[in-house]
Amino acid sequence: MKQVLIINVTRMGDLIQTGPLLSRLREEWPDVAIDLVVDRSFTPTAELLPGLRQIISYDFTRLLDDCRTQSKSLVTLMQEMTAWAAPLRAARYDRIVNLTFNRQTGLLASYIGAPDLRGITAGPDGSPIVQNPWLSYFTDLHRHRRFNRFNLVDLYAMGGSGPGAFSPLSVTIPADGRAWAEVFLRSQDRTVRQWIAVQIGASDIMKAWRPEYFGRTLAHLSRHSGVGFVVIGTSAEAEAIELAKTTYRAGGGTAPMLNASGRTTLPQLVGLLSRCQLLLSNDTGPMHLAVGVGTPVIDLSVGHVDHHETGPYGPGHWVIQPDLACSPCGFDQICAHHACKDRLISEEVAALCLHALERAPFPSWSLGVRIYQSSVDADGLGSFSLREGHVDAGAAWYAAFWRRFWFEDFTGRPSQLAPNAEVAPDHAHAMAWMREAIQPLRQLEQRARHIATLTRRQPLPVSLLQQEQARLRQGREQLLPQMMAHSATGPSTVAMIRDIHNDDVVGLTMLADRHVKAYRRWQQRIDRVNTLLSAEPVQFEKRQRPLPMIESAVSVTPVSITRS
Amino acid sequence: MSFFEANISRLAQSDSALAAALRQSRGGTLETLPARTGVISARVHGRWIHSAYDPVKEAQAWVEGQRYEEGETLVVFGVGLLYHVEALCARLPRTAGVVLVVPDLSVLVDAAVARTWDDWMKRVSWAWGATEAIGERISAAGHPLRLVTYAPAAALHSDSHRAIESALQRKVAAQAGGQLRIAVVGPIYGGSLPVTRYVVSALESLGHDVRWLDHSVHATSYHQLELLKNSQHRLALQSKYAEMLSRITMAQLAEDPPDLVLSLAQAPLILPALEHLRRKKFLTAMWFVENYRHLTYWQQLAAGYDFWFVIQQAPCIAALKQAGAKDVRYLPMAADPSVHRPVELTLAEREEFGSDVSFVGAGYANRREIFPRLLGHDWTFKLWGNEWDGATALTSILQRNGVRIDTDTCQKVFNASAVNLNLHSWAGAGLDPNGDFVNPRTFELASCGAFQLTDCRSLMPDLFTASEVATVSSSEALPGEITRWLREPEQRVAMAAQARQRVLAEHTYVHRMRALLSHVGVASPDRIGSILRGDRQAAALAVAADESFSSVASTLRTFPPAQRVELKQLAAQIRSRGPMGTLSREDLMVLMLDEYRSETKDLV
Repeated sequence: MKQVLIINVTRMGDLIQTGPLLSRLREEWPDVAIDLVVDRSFTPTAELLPGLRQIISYDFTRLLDDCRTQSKSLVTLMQEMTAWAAPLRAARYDRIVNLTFNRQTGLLASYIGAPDLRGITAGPDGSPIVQNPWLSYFTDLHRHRRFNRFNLVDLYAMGGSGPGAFSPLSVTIPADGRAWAEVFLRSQDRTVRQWIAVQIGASDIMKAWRPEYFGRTLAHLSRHSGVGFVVIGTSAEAEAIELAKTTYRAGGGTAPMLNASGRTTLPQLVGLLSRCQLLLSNDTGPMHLAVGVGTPVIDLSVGHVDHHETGPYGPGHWVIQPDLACSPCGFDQICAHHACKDRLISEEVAALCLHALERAPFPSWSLGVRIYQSSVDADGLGSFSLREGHVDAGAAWYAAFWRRFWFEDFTGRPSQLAPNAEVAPDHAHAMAWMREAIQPLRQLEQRARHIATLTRRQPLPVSLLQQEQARLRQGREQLLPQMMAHSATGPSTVAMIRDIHNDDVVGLTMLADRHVKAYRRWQQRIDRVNTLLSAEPVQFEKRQRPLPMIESAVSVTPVSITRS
Repeated sequence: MSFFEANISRLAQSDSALAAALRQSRGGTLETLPARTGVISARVHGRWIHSAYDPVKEAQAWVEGQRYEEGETLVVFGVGLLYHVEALCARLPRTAGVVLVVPDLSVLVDAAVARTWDDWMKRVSWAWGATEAIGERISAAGHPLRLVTYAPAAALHSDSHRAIESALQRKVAAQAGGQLRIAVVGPIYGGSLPVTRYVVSALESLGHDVRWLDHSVHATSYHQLELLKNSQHRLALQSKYAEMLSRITMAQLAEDPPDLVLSLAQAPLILPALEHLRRKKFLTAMWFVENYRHLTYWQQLAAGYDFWFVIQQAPCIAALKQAGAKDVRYLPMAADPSVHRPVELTLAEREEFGSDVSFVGAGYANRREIFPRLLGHDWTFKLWGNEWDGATALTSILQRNGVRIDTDTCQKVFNASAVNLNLHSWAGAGLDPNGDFVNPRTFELASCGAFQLTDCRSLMPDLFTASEVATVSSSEALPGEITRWLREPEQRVAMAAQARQRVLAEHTYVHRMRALLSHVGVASPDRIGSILRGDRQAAALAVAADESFSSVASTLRTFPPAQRVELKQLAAQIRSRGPMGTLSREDLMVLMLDEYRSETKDLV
């Protein structure tokens, strides 16, 4: 029997998005036993994931507080943590997949140890390194995000296991939660035929659409008979919810609006979502829960959120994204205006809700937004098709290009996606740049190779070695800005930078050999891009693929073992 | 055999001296009578010491509220019928030590008569006898000590308990090797600003690593808001500004979390920030160097700080506790002798700053009312300080057009004046009839070796004797007292010298900070107490690590033995081995914990 440990400690949504990885691991090893390390606060969420052998929780928040305030001596802290981690070490996992992208869990993964470590781990000197190309790609996503077309769910699944058949998000609907939701909705209003769940708040104000706009949207929807609303969220979101309700009433909203925010347990929330016909939501944990129970979602993708990364996974969902030069903004962006949120017009959002409920045709849209429909692509990965609005032609072309490129590069198998039907919009410019870059790239590899040779000499020519390393570094730093600036070379350059800093070996010669490989890989990738861009575009017949049905929700009583 | 005989015989096996002493003692302090459940309860002068319904259940509930960390010894104040001690022994692990403080044998006699003591008593060490003997007995327990109080019984001997606690604090203070990391949060402006400076200096002189989060740099902006004519705008913006400064304080604390956050009065930390700090396990203390009757914002903050130190006694302490403060202690003002000291003045300076009578301070109502009555006498009178606008009767004696007087000038005036008046501020006429606390000026004048004539304060006798500081009981008596003291130059000099000696011996900011930290140390034996004891020093940690973490123990032995070592220092040492070093699993663990230590995102 194979044993896998997944470490995913930070967010509810991330946990739900781990589901397809569990399926993929069972595909890879049918008798696999999968354990999951989570923060204690997310144990109830983890219990919704089917097929785990053990949920191993720890109060990482308390640990952080103890470490930071030095409220305990370092020996006491070590004793406590060692005692907790002892069974994990004793389990002798075959693989550890660290899906929490921080240094702390990287060191934890290395401490526990396994022959196959994936995600952030500790290098020989304790510095963070990333193992596995998919998870490296995810780590550096922020550097080439406009070209990314991989959903986090697929990155988790392919990074933690490998490519495979599409598997939807799936969460258990606890029997008691389902029963509670039945009673809750039935007791409220019998005139409602279609309940729309509404998630107004978000963990980060940046990714929350304005509450007033939610209120107006619901007021518009309220004019249609048989519709009712269930507001979900936490008690911390009460102020935003109240604002939405005030706007709703001012806008003439009369349809039943139930406030379940702060009043549900997690099983009850899941039950409630499973009983609604639609969820209108910011990009949040409950959005992924809704996807997991098979409820269609309209995702308001504002602020720093990019639906290509974290949008609703699998077919049957909609995304509304503002069309604004700065949107989506950077991960750590602090925005003073939140202007992207004003691009989404309440009447139009309401119209899309009605369409999703099969009560109206696809609406017409103003210029400030893009509308995407979620689907599964030919490689079995989650994807989004643009239904309305405009995208930059260059960005769209390269996004499609890099989507195929990385899939083939990382899996070693051909992508079933059709290549771009047209040549790159900057074809001539890109080709000219790659011709220019190829020589300095070769020189870098040669220099790296020379350094590797020098490291084998006895005695070690220290001074010469230092000179050569300085030259190599200088040559690389000169080339990097231009390589990064071109759409045809930027993403592979990001991968090279990761490669060059991913020092997972000890010893001068081994390090030098590793760097030779990194430069060679960089050059090979640029060569391949060059070849692909040089080739004549393939003409192919566009055909509509049937979308798989959502059958992700299963109703069973969860059986999980939680260990503190 | 009676309960008493059986209990004393059993006690004699572990503490024969106590058993013998109990045989010689009489009971009768406690009135014992059955509770509703049928077991014996007790009361004193009609007040119940244990529950009249169910003493056993009450004791168990009390134990639930007590904290205990592994390795500690619990020191119990409050004897009664020992239900709480029995419940405590049942709850604690076998390795935990329990010391019961017995300030009065008669209560223990009553307890021995009333009910049988079972095996739990074998775990108890009895600290009895004179205060010093009790202190010694407790200290001999060796482990980190945590004091727990069963209040209904302890109230019978509160003075003894205070004395014992003070003895323990003195012991902590004597042991203290420094090395605490303390963030001092000062005000934007006002009287507590110079006090903050003195506190920082005192803590540094005690060897602690102190960071002053100085908000006086924001004073100019804050004062700009005071220029707004619309009071609603002004108050709203000042409130927002305080909130902003509170956030800035949080960001500063996040960057370098201290062992203790010590705020001085008017520090811009609002209640939600304090609550957040508590959730994130920061220890906070406030030295409220204000008159709690005049400035009442403590009501909003009472529950926010872990420790309150105040310059007033019982009513103030009771009010804070009622408002939600958990731990309130009296800590009077002080002086900094490096600042407030005798100075040699030139003739020109004596001319400028000297007078028969002087006063330095702001124009409060009572001073405006009293000082005109001091004019027209056969002495010279100079008035120094600000906020005297409209006091036309005093224009002739007001120096420098009523500008604020800096510390340096203050000191020269103190040293150059024959009689320094020191009238505590009050909003009414005459002297404050309920004056309790002693203001900083009293200590500063004394520290300067200057003679002062002060209004009577109820807390003065504990701080200065009548041969150190002269006092006056009414404003009517003031001219007569001035005349008297101006005729006694030699006695003035002698009193001033004695007052200065008293300050140097007992009333410096160093004394106050030592007392403050000792209290916090005793109250948090696993944290501040542990650091002050030296448990976090490299040598002690290496010994603790020897058994389970040999690699870490070796690394710890590369530090100077007395250096305090936390995750940050240990991790830095491990990282300093460079990229070619090899890491043990223990090293990985240290690096991981250190990464958690350096996380700041959730704090601001």
